[in-house]
Amino acid sequence: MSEAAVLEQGAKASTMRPLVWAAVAIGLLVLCAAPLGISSYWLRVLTTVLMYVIVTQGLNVIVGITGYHAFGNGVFFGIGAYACGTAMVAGLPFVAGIALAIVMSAVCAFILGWPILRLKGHYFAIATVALNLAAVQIIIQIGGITGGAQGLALPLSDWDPKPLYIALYYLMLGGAVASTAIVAILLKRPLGFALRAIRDSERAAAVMGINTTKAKVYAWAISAGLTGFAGGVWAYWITFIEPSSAFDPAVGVKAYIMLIIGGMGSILGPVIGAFVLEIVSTLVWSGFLKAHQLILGLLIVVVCIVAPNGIINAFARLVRSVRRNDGAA
Amino acid sequence: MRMSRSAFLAGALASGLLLIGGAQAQEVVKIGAAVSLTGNFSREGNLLKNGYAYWEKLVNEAGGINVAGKKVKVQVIYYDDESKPQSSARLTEKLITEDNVNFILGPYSSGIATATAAISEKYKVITMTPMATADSLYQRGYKFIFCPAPLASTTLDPMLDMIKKLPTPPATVAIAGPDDLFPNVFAGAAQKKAEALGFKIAYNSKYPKGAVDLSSVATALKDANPEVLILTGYVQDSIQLVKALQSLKVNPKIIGFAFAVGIPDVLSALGPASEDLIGVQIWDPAVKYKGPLVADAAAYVSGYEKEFGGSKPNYITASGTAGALALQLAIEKAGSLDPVKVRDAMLQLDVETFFGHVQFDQTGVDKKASAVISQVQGGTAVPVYPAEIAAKPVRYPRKPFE
Repeated sequence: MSEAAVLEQGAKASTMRPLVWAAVAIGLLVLCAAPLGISSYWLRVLTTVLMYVIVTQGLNVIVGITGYHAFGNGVFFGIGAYACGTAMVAGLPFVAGIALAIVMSAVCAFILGWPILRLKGHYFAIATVALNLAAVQIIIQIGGITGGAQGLALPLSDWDPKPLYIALYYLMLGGAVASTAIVAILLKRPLGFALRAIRDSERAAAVMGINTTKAKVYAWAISAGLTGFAGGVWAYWITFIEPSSAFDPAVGVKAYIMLIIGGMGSILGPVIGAFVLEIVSTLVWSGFLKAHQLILGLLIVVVCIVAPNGIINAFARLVRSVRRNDGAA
Repeated sequence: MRMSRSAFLAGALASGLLLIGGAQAQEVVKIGAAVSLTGNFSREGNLLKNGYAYWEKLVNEAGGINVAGKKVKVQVIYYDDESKPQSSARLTEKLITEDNVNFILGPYSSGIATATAAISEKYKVITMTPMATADSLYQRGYKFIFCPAPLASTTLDPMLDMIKKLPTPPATVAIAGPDDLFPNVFAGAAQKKAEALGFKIAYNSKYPKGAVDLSSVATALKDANPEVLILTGYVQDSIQLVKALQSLKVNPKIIGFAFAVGIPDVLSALGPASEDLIGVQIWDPAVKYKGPLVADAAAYVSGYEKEFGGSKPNYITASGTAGALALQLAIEKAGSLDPVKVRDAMLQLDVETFFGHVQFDQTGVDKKASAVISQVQGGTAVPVYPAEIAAKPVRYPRKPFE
């Protein structure tokens, strides 16, 4: 993004702020009230959407803000799922499982980040994909408490389905709100400025005295922690995890598409991207049993052509051009 | 957030009343099936769907399911789970809570079925899972899941039983396979069974999944020199290993696969070397069981081919049809669509269908389900065990590699 564009976006943000806040407040109210008025199926769809909001916000931190294209960020989803799963199988409560999911994912990113984040561009992207593949093998080789290739069955909750799924929904909602807040706060902190400087020019950032490796590692650890949280909750929700489903590369890829659709580096872009893609794909799916993936693919291509910088930026451009026309009239 | 006991009872009572009311007013029996129509398991998922659909067609042609003297038509609602547990879980919830299905016909793959069974169990909806054969699924204490096919841990049992019954039975057994879910289960169960039958295990080892060169395994097998070799792997790696054995002239008296030996891949890739190899499959068109709706295997093959434009049925389609059929028999026995009554009836079933014997134990496993052993004889696979369906006697020892 050019400097002019950044300044323009800043100016726009200040005039648009009350409107955005109102929209966010209304959206949150609707989401809080949603379990009262929707069916169990749509509750599950919305829970999936919120899960992807968290994963996409996690991706936003490393891709959107820092400019490091972690295609394989889904690896932390799997690490979170397995951390929570093994903890619960070992007899720990769910809360401890989730805490472990966040910590394990963040620690893994922290350790892996020191070597891997020295890679740039495609090399980093490919290394993260390799991580995902390696993780599957590691789980299979460890065996034992991870269940290895046989998968891992988590202890079942003795709650009734309705309250259980509503509780999991609110947990995902809380995670989505928290991850969005973390991105918003991050953008205002020195770390956020450092990361954006790295995205625009890493060498320039280093010259200005930013410890770029440290900043990147922190960013990736935050990203991993968020993704790991989503993975941990997901594991308990789905009750059975396998290396192939927990480390499904499609999780990271889908979040990436959501990030592109919504708008990279913005606060609300990932939220919009997750809602649009997941709900559209659900609707397309129920309308076209046979060709749903084809149609969804076409829709994604169309969105990328029409709004290459994401819906949120396209929308901002639209608002600006309408305003200019108003001014001229 | 635990519900109080009285609130729970009231809720249970209300939902029970709703179910009874629903059943009486019902015009069709709604059955949900979320199977993999796209993704990794799309081939298997489509075959399973065909198996279910063929049962649906047959039962509706016969007027429907006989529920307490009244014939009720069947409507199966199909969804695509994209080969993903996440989608499958969501669709199962949709089938139960939005489409209000009475029963569920399960997905292909134990991993996916384990994710959906947790949901159907919570809603107390009976799920028939003919293509989820991992033992772990039936060890979770679920009450509403049933599998009409033999589980992974018992699939190889008839092969070892057959070997034990040979006139001059061999003494040593070797087991080799890739390190992966089903191969590991097969290998563990085969070792246990072999030891129980008094065989000596000469070799039991795993090779990495996806390994291309298996000559080191073949060399180790040459040293171990077993009389029986059981390969628990998939088609491609098992073919590779047999080729390696052939080039090293390793000649066990029996070589057995954990899959159907009569498939074109094996016959064409190994050519004359495939002669006398044995394999296992959970159903074969040669079986001679008889039962309701589908008279026997021959009727199944001809009817299925007619329905699906000449494409041949196999063990996946047959187990799909048989699973749905077992559900139908349980509903008719119960004379009700109430899941608890149908479950009780399911546990009391003791019948024979075109697929085999049906008798479920408390965990939902068909105790009498048994696989069929076939052997390549003269370039085609011939069923050789169990004795009552064998077309020819098993050739033993096998002809050595040239």
